[in-house]
Amino acid sequence: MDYIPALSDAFLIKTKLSGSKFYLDGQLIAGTLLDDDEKSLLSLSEYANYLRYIRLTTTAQIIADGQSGFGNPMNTYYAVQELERSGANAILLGDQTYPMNLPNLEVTSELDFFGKIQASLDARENPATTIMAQLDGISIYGVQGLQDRIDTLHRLGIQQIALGALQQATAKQLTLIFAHNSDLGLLLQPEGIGPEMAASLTPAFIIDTQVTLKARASYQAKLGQFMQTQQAGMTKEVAHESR
Amino acid sequence: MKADNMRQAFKQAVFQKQQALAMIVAPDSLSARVAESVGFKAIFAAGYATSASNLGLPDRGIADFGIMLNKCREIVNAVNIPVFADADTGYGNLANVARTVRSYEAIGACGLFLEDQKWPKRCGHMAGKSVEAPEVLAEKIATAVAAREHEDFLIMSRTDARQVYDLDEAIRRSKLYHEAGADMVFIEAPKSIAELQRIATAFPDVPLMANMIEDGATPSLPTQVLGQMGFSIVVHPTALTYAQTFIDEQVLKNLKATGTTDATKAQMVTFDKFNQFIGLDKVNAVEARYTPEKIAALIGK
Repeated sequence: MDYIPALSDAFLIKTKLSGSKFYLDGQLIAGTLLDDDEKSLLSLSEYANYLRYIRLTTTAQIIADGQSGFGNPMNTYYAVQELERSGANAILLGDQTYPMNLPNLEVTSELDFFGKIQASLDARENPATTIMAQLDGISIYGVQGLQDRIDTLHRLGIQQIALGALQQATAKQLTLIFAHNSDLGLLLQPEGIGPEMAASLTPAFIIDTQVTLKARASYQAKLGQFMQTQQAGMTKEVAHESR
Repeated sequence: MKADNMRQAFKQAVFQKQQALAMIVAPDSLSARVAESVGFKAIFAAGYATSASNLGLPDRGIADFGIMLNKCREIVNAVNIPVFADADTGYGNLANVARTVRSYEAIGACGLFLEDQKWPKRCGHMAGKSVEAPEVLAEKIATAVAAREHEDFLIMSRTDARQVYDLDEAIRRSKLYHEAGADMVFIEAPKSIAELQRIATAFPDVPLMANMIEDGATPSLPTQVLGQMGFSIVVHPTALTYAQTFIDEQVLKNLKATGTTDATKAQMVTFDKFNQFIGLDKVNAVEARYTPEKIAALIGK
């Protein structure tokens, strides 16, 4: 099982926490720049600009966040060009509607999604740039719908497929799907299943978008403590100097 | 890959000795597309035009690394001919220079020049320039050469010492910069044909650039003539900025006075011609490849 953390800070990526591959999660960037969890607030050009900074700091493989393609298949075509030339090694493209909005999950039509997938494949300059698919709609299209989409993606030449928006309630169905598709990966997401359950499904890879968010929460608490300590030190210093 | 092809095409054009490469400074992607469409083989993304088009300000060192890099990147992405970059002083110390080189390589530029002015710099033909000691740029050039990933990403030295000192000092410095690793040499603002000839004589084997700024310090000569003198690149840095400003003013004065563009319409491109030029058909064709009908047929549904 390939473990792929979601990261966005250059200094964390440099500490080699990322291993050889990481997911440059738009949600983390939206948190840093906008204090908001909603990645779809970031436009393609803003995200690509950030990606170019990160690209120059690491030789690790970067999986770029293609969201839901930033519009229709034509938009996806130009988005993939932009992400590739900004340094993405792989682009993860989801089947939600545009703009994607996880709390109110809506999936786009199959024809729109597969159009975006084909457009992504056609848009690449380098055939080594990987197009990855993210299927978020198991709660909407069910196991059969999921299997159909996986089969079509395979036919289009997509080798890396990740399931997202996974819930405890659908665990049994998930077991079935992973048993049938040995190349399937999954996304560990803030509101979804935990690491233990994810591992029990024996996916080919896990993109962990929980870990940095968890680390950030504890970092925030620690920062508050450190600021208090620093300020206490300053008060002592002032008292000392005035004597 | 496009970036590899562009670097190779530029290097080839610069090092062949038949004729000088005519390089035009494009203030933006649109003007770069126009230049490409009329047959120019190289674009220069440079400070005078970018300061004007992005900031509405003169070339006085206010347009910084971020603005210059982004402008160059937009132009690189818009055309299929090499784009050379004006990297001013490298924007700080040697660490800045290394980052500047890596960044311009990453966006697909074919090379860049670094100059010996003190920051904030000025356009090479403006009064009041000052230059660093020659060792400063020599070190920057060596750093740039060491930082580049591709040998065919060409580094040019630029000296502004002609105006501050004299041509001898400018030539002496440029020899030092060439020894430090500069692939090409640019001596800014020679004041006569005789000075241009002296520069050509001083560097018989190094590609040289001549800068033809309208009303600048250097006499205006045709690209072919400069090529025969021994210059490899002839750049026009301000022509499009001045032309745009001129026509914008004409059209807008008339519009302000008459309330319509009828009188100046003849000086414009038409709606259909522009859409064709800018590639509307190509973008529409991309969209048409992925209609629901075509995708249904593709996946057999």
